This record gives sequence, structure tokens and C-alpha cells, in this order.
Amino acid sequence: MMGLSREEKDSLEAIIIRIYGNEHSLISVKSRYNEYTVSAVEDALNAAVNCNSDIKDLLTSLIGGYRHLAKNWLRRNLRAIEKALDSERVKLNGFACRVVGLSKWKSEIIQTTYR
Amino acid sequence: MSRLICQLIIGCTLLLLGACSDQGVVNFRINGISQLSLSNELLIGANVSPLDNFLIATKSNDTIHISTLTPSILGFENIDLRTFPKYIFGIDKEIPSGPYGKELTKAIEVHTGIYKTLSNRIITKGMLTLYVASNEKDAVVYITHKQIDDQITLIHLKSNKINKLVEIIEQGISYDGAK
Repeated sequence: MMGLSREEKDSLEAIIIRIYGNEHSLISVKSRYNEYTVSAVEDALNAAVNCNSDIKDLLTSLIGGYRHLAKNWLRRNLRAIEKALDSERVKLNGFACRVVGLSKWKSEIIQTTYR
Repeated sequence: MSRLICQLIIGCTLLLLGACSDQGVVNFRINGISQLSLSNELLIGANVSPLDNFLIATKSNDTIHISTLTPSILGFENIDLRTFPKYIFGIDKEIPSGPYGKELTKAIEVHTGIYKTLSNRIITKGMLTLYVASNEKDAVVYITHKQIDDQITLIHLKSNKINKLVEIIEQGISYDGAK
């Protein structure tokens, strides 16, 4: 795998903001985002499928079924996922998913920036 | 030499965090309701990042991620946060009606989907109550204070020896320095 392009980092940042809000600690390390960061965000989105029906529908419509997702699907679809999350159609406001379900992935994401 | 450098790095990090080291233990003031004491041994070679409150990633890849929950973070003002883990852990089964109750019901489902219900433990340490749940490699700890209703501490742990790390956290947590 190669390093991330500027555009990929922009998309990844936008996705992270949609999941976790404008959290300085996750955004301030944008320059260090790498393929492992994409993988950690992918894991968080996979986990979101279990707690957010909007994400489940999104992945089903974009990638053709979340149950059959191959590893590294996010890197291949960064821009599409960014655009889809940017629409008002996907809501990630509730604490059930954002706090109880997904906050454990924050540490994974930040850890990847040490690699 | 490398050990000395590690200790220097930890020292600088602790200065940044406003913590202090005493008798081989480092005290992290997490927020207004809890303090965590960790041994220097655990912290040698660790990376400490500001993540909400902060993230400690030890040399052996264990992670301790500490954050604070408030009513505004949950998106519902005027709720008593001391009851939040009681609902999540299924101790209080009378879920309030309305949007908060609806979201709580979903949160309980999400929590039980991640952690084994059988692993749930509740520990009282003075004014603090720790609600602990874990699975093979992850654990979550909610900490409430008897007299404070608008703040709780949330700790996520990851380790290949999760029970050991949970034990370290349980032992290290205190209120305002008083064990």
C-alpha cells in the first residue's frame, strides 16, 4: 500500500468529522493520516453498521452489501463515502452510536498516526 | 541510556499534563471527579496523546483512552448522568419515556452487542462507582460520583491481557487523590 494523497487525507478528515465531530485531537494529526488510519476508520464504519441504520443503508447502496465487504473497501471509496456522509440523508447524531458504539475506535484512529 | 531518555520523555509529558510522580506512581487528574494513578513501569515507553481527555498507549500496545461525558455531549440537557451507566448496564430497567429513553434503549442494545453481559461488574470506591464491562480484548469503565450529576468518566481499554489492565485501572482510580 502507498501513502495517502492530499485528496484522500481531505476525504478521510471529512469522514472523521462526520463521525466524531470537529475533534481537535483527531483533526490536528491529519498530516499523519496513513493507510492504517483508513483501516481504523473503516473498522469504525463497520461497527457503525450495527448501531446506525443510515450507515447500513449507505454501505449497502454504495458498495453493494455491507455483509460482503472486503477489507480496504474504504480506501477505494473514500470520496464516495465522504460525499454520501455529507448529505443530510445520513444522521449520526445519537449518543447510542456516537458515544457508546464508536468512541472506542477513536484511540485506534489516533494510534495509527504513530505508525 | 534509552531508559533514561524514556523517563525524561515521561517527565516532560507529565509536566504538560500537570501530573506529578511520587513513589513510582504517576497521578493523572482526569476531570472533576476522578484521578488515575499508574505505575511508572506501565508508562515507560508509552505515548500520551490529547484525545478528549487523553490517550495512553503503552509500549506493549495496551491503550487507555479516557474521556468525560456531560449532558451536552450526549445531546440531552437536564439529565442525571449518575443514572446513565445504570441504564446501560441494565440495573435500572425503568427507561424514561421520550427521545432520551429511545436513545437509551438503542445504547443498551449497542453496549450489549459489544460487551459480554456476564462480564459486568460494579465496584464502589468511596464516592465513586465504577461500572465495568469487557470482552476478550476490550473493556469499558463508566465512573460516576455520588454527588455530581452532570459529569461521568468514560474509560476504554484495549489489551491482550484485558483483565490485568482492568485491574490496574480499578486499583488506580480515586477521587481527588483520596484512595
